[in-house]
Amino acid sequence: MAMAFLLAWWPLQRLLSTDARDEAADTPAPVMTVEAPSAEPEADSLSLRIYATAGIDRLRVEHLGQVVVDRERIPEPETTAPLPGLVLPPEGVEFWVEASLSPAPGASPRAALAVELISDGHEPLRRTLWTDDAGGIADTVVFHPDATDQP
Amino acid sequence: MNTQPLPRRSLSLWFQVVVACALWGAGPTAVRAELKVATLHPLMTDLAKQVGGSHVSVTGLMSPGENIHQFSPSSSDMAAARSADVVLASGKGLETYLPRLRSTLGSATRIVEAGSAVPSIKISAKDALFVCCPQHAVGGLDPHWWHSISGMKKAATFVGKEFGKADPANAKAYQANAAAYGQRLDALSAWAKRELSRVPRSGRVLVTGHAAFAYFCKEFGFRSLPVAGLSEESVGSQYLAEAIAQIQKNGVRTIFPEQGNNTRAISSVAKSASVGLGRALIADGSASEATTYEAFIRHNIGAIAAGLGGGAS
Repeated sequence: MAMAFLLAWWPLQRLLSTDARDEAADTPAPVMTVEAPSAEPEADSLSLRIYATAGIDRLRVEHLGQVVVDRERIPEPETTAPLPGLVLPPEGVEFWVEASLSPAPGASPRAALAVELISDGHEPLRRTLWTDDAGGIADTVVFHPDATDQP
Repeated sequence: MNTQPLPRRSLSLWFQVVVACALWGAGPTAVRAELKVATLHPLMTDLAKQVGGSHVSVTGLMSPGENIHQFSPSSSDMAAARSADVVLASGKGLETYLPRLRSTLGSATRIVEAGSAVPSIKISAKDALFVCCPQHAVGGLDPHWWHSISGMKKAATFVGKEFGKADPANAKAYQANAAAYGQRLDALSAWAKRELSRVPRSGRVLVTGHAAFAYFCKEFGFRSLPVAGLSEESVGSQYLAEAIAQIQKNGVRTIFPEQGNNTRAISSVAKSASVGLGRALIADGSASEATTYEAFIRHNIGAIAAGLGGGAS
């Protein structure tokens, strides 16, 4: 009985998740600026969640040259930023990330910053950036709809 | 008891004077000990200076602004190369005369191909019409590797090691210079990424004259679309029509001429396709107004970000 249920459920579950991915990939949506209102009301609501292995002294995130996050001395371990109107096109979406982290005394000098693109009903897409020798990060992260995590 | 340090100090002073005199007398010898480097590409001249620092004297056989695809060493160039300890070439088949030069110089001169440290990109069939010259045809190596900043960093490390082999006494200095230059290239790369982050991923199609930007496109997530080649003769009307169709199909809004290459054809394409004309790019790394690698990269990235970027800087 249990085996029969599994045999029936597994292909269905695969089909549903494939449909969801195809739907996202087929969305004919040009990249829009963060401030621009969405032309597609049914588009998923996207947001960024950012957390670090060390204290964040400064964090700046830009999308197409426009500021998404600009904060200093963030006390909480993670911070989120809504991205109203932004959709994830097949070509992907890119963010410029600039940060300085301060590892706790005795901790590894190399700290990391995780940047997640969160969309309702989908697995978060995650990218990790490592600090340079001076504890700084200045790099881009790119999210593609068909990649669940970075290579 | 307390007179002991004085003779020691005097002895030390005397020793310093002797050493200084010896070095003074050895002046010409010290000059001869510097590494003589001849370069075959303007960007290699800058690379040699960055990595060699004060330990090398660099002679650029090709001046900035010369056409790298038409350069062939003259007899005086050959003489300069013969008197060098190291000849620094760009490599990847760019210097088609290199085998001849190698046989002329013999084994006494070390020929270093900087590009050999950089992973190659082969010329694809779609770019075959618009390559720089017949030697760089389909399946051949794309020689324009210096459009990749990470590639230049690899090349700097490699050249530092090669200089060290030619001049072991200063090997550590060359490696240190290469490492310091690598850090400056990291900063340049970060600047480039930030500038180009203004260009939407969906709009990253780089339309240029000849197929010279594959390394740039790979590094920064662009698609390369060369449409004109290097000479007016290389493009027929059917190819221009195809180029225009490709530009319109990809939603391109700005295309880029190249300094010194086929600007009339690109202007014609822009007009026919009703797209804008960006600032002229330096495709071959040789331009009189950009004599350093950093200036070359800043010129091109600035032009591309301005032409294709939508957001504020």
